[in-house]
Amino acid sequence: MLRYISSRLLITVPMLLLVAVVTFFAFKLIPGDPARMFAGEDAPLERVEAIRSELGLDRPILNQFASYMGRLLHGDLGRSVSSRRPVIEEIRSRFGRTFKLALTAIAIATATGIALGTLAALHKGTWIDAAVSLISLLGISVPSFWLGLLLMQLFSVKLGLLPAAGYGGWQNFLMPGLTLSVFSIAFITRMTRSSLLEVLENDYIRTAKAKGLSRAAVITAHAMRNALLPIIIIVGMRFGYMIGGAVIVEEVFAWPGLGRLLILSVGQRDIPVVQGLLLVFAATFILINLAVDTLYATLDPKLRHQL
Amino acid sequence: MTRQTIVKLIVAISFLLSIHALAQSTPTYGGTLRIAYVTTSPHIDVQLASQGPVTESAHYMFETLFDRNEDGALEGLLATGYESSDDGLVYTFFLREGVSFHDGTPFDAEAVKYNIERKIRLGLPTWDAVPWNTIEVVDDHTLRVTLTAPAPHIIRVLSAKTWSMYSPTHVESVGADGILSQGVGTGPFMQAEFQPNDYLRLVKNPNYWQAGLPYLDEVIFQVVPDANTRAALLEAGDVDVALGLPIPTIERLQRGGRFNVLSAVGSRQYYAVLNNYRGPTSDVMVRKAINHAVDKEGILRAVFRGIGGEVAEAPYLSPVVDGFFPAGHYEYDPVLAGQLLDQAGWALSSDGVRYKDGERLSLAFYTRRGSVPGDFETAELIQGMLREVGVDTRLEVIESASFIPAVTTDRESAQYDMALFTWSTATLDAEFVMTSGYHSDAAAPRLYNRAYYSNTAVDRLIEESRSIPNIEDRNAAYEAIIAMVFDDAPILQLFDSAEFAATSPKVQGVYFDPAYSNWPVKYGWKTP
Repeated sequence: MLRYISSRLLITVPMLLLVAVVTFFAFKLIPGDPARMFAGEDAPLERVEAIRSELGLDRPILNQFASYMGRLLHGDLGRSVSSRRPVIEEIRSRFGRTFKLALTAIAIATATGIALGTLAALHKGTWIDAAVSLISLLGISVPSFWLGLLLMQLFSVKLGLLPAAGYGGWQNFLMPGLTLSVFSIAFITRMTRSSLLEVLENDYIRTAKAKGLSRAAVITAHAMRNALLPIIIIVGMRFGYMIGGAVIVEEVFAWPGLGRLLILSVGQRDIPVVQGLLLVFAATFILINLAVDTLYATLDPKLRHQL
Repeated sequence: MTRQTIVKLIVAISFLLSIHALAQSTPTYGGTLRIAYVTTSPHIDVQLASQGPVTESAHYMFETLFDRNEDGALEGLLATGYESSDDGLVYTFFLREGVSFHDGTPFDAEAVKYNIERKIRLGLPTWDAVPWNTIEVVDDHTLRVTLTAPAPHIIRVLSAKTWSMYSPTHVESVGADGILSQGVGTGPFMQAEFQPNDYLRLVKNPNYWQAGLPYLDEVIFQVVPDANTRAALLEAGDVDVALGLPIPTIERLQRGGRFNVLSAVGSRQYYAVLNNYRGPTSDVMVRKAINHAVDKEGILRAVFRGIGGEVAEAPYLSPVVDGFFPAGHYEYDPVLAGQLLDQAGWALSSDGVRYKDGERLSLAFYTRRGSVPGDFETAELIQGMLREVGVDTRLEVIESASFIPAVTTDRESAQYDMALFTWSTATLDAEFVMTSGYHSDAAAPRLYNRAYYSNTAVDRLIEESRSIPNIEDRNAAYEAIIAMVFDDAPILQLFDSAEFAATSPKVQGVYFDPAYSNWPVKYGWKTP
């Protein structure tokens, strides 16, 4: 088990290096000028040139790449072009906010998704099943900026119950959390329904029923336990996406997290910050996947023995 | 002997009175004002940024030697007055006594000298708008500046926010990087917390030199990127002021009557650059035809619901700018536009587009989407209107970070025939337009003459106007220049845009700064 985890961790390093290389050159290919963006639209040319040389952007590209990779291998992500603060600080101050938002969203999504999916599976073919399918279809198709604004109109403007936007107490988490979770709710609902239905076909369920166990006991102790395995994978993957994919929700709710930082930095061509963010997203995704695989292995005795 | 002109400037008392005149209620002390703020600002160093979002907060934290009241008249702020010599080469500034920076550093002639020299040394925006020679401290509160040539616009230059006075002690202790995120000025509010691109929290300056001001305890700027969210925050009562709302939202709030909607025309002009250097638009007949072919009123009605501004009456210059002269606008007349194009040799073909010697009249037209309200929609309408007179345009929508480099290049590498832009004159003085827009020396990428407009007679008149030591005579000279430039039609002149703010009815004492299109509430208050 330990060997499995450490070998997986080891692969992470070349993967992250690859991400670093790709983002560096990708950003050199797209048009745009960080020095100009920092100096301001109407800055005189001399000022822009001065900033360019201050930032080292006038050096040959391979030279820039070498010093970037050199710093990176020492764990230094560099400094933001626009705020001049270390990239690691920019990310650290926002990571928690995005992480907490994603945690709220994944909690909502997992609870709602499993509940709805179970409901649909147990009432397969009835109007309940059809209603749940409709809800999950809506969840997948609704654009999150639209849903966010709709919630805001209802709960903040009309009812005055929740703060419309911004980071703050637990009330601030509800609307963005729900908005961010909707796509995942739909996903988890579908996965739960199909996985549970598959399990319910098995012989051991029939045996359990024949044993005279209550319906509730059959579902929770026997069926659900086995149906959970694929659901865990989906939940883990969705959580990974949420860390890097809360861009629109953060923009709509003025949430000062990583997604907003990414949009801002791309707009300002703040390359060091974008590179730092992509590395963090990649690393988080890899680590979450590893955690999920490990959890999966511990839950599934077949896999446990192979490791 | 020089006869000294002493200009007495209106001081704090009348400034206070004018602010009070805005009020509909007796000022109330205390409270927090929340502002949902449009764009992001990665820093708050207003000496570094000549315009943009940074100037919004600068009103509260920093002060300049001179300022404008809500009527646009110049007043002393940190200066109480000035004298200028007859030849316009020597300026003596009298500084306000008893003022100190937020960190306790006294505001004196040494501090002003330090700030002016810092601007010059670092080449910060508009440092070269004045031909500086020497800067000397006469006594604690008197500063003498000598120039190498007259610059009667110096007072207007120094009233621009980018000439804000920083505490020298603070600048020395935090350095050039520190000053990006920590500001110490003399303004009514002091910085408490700053999270770049997120929020800025300011608290009342208890030692503010204008006794009894400010009224508010705290001002919070919250960056909210989405316009609909800004409106929702205002409607939910989470913020007191929302800036940068789209016109339909402004109309909705106006109709609802629950919020105050403020509107004013500032110095910002919408226009399209026409490439005067090469291609079909290098022919003045074609440029005039383009101006006649575009229905500016129609665009204002269609894109801006008739409340978005007024048709521009001079290239780059709006009426709030000192030295403005109403040269006029090209009347919407597609028939005349067609005739002008005929005369220029562009004959209409059966495909509805004009040709000359086998060349198709097709123009590359650059624009952004959402950099200012209605930019893309305006460009689309222009495209349609030009098509009506047989001019084909290839509209290219370019993202901001790529747009600026594409339109800030020398004339040989410029790929555009037309580009949609806005112009703002932060000094509110036409000298900026002359030097940075009309003169051929201002050709991009050095400055903002992106049309590559060049007329030696105009250049010469601008240069001659520089030796005129007083504003009145200089403005008279500008009239002829503006008329000549208008006649050359270097740009497609569109409209001077209206700027909006929506506030809760509790907010009092908001006024408009036409230089930056800001709505400062620094001396305002909230009714209970």
